[in-house]
This record gives sequence, structure tokens and C-alpha cells, in this order.
Amino acid sequence: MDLHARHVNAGVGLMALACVAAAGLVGGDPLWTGFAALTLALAVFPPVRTGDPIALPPWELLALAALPAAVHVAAPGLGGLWLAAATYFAVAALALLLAAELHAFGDPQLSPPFAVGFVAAATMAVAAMWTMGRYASDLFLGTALLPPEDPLMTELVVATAVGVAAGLLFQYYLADVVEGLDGLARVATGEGEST
Amino acid sequence: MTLADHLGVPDRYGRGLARLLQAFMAGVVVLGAVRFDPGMMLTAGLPLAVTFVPAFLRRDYDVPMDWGWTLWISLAVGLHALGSLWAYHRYPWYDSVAHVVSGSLVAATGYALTMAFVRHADGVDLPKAYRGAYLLVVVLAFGVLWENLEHAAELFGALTGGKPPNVQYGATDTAKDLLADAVGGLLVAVWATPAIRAVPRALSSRWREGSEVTE
Repeated sequence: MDLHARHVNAGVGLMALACVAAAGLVGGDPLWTGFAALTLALAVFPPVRTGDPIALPPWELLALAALPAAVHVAAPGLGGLWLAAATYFAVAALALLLAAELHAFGDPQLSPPFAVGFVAAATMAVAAMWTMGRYASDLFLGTALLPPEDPLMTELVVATAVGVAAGLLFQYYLADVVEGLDGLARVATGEGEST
Repeated sequence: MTLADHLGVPDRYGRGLARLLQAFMAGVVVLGAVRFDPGMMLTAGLPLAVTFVPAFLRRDYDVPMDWGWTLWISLAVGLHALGSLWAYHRYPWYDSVAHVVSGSLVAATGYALTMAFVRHADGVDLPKAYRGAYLLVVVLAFGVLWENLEHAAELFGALTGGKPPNVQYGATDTAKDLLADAVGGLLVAVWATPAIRAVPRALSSRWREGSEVTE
């Protein structure tokens, strides 16, 4: 990606991150705050790691991560199902970002088919962990977070469908993401040239 | 060392137990036939079919899945079959036990397949430090899939007016199922990975042979 394109990417990406941060701060909901924090951490990791402040991940992924916040704000009356779908799309986007960053900067090596499977599985696993978390919270903290059976099952179906769809969608995109991050990683370790 | 070696039980006993479980499931299939109960036949028949996969892979593809695998699979599917036919209704904690066992099986299979890919393919590597988290993701994803299938079976049963093969008992049971799956997966991640290693080795060398032949 040439320098101008990277500046544009960083600019748009920052706007998406601002949305996510706002949702986390304004929402008052610890869940949204946690989600925002995770998104920000994953997003700023490449710039921090490479020392290049405009080395943000592709803005499309960050926009996807900002999607549930946008849906929540723009259409608060919209059914919980759409918000759930948007949230799990954001989770899938973060899973893809995590996989690409692990591949580029870390020890694991994830070929595209694997990363696709990982995105789907990770989205479903997050749904499972969120279910278990709500159950534990109800049990030990006396909350009433866990929905009744039918809404919960629907949510799990949505998470599965969105996870698989995102995985399939991302496979066209993944090679670019990994390549881009790989390039950044190589620059960081001094192996490659910067463009 | 294969899985059977790790279990430390003489072949005779291990194989015998696996056969016993398979015979039990076969008996239930027959009982279902006698009672004209297709739900019962399916609930026992499908698991029974799955228990023959190790033997099939061993015979036809030289994958070293010894009786240890057959026993593991038989236990997991046998427990679930027994549960949905009787035990869930009687003992509420039974479901959790069944899910710990099947969760461990899913983790073992996921581990074996993944490590086979790691050995075989160039672009894939999963260092030891990451394997636990990876297995947890695999097990939980499969657990969610399983809950989806149970839900679909229930809806299907309600639509066709018959008795659904597996009945879901509410949101807390789903959460407990997923927790039990995770525990099973963690047990494998912590304890069983050395016992599973012979399988990925064989799978990857077979794949390598296969791709060399086609080149």
C-alpha cells in the first residue's frame, strides 16, 4: 500500500475507532467498554509494534468492529436480533484481525483456509463464552443476564450463521490483510523495505 | 506410544468394554425397531455408526486408531445415547458428565486433525503455547453447533408432532452443557495430547504420500 493510501486508511480507521471508543465510554455498559478496549488494543498493536503511527489495520475491519455501536446509536429501537447479528460480525472482524496479527507478528502460522475456519469457530466460541459468563454472573452475582431458552438458542444460531458467513466472506479479503500486516511486520524487524 | 498404551489397560479388557458399549447401542436399535420407534433407532443407531470410524480408518487408511479411540468414542456417544433415552430425565447432572466426555473427544479429534495439518502443510504452525486456547475455541464452537442441532431437532419434533430425540431443558442447561464441554476440552489440552500424537503423524505422512503420487 503506498503512503497516501496508508494515510487514508489510517484516517478512516481512526474515525471507526472513535465510534467504538465513544460507545464504550458513553454506553455505561461494562460489556461495551470491554469490547471497545479490546478493539482498540488490537487496532493499535501494529502501530505500536512497528513504531509507525499510520500502520493501522485495514479500515474495513475497524468499521465492522464499530458496526454494533453504530446500529445501537442509529436505531435503538431495532430488534435485538439485528444488534446481535451486528455484534457477532464485529466479533468475527476482531477474530480475523487477531488471526492476521498472530500470523504476522507472532509465532503461529495460519494459512487462509485455517484463518477462515478460525474466524467462524472463534465467533461461535465467543457466543459460548458469553453464555457461560452470563450464567456464572446470574449464579454468583444474582444478575438476570441469561435470556430464556428460545432467545438464547436464536442468539447461538445467529452467532453460528454470522461466524460462518464472515469466514466465507473474509477469505477473499484475508490474503490482503495478512500480506499487509506481514509487510509491516517485516519492516518492524528490519527485514523488508518500506514503501 | 498409542492411546491404548497410555491407558495402561490390557487390550482384552479395553476392547471388551468398547464391544460391550457397542452391543448395548445395537440392542437399543433393535428395541427401537421392535417398538416401531424411529427416534430411538436414530438416537442409538447414529452413535453406533460413529463408533466404527476408528476401525474403518485403521483398516482402509492405515491411521493408527487403536481400541483406545473406539472406547473413547463409544463412551462419549454411548453416554449421550443413554442420556437422551433415559438418564437425562432421571438425573439432571448426567448431561454434564456426558458433555465432559464428548467435549474431551472433540478436543482430541480437533487436536489430531490440526497437528496433522501442521505437519503436512507449509503455511500452518501452532506452537505449544497457543494450543490450549485453540482447543478451547474448537470445543466451544462444536458445543455451540451441537446446541444448534439439538434446538433444530426440537423444532423439527414439534413441527412433525412426534417426540423429539433430544430435549433441551432450558437456558441454564445449555450454559452448563457448554461449561462441561469446555472442561472436557481442558482435560485433553492438559493431559491427553501426548497420547494422541501417533494419529497426526500417520495422517500427515499418508497425505504426503498421496500428494507425491499425484505429482
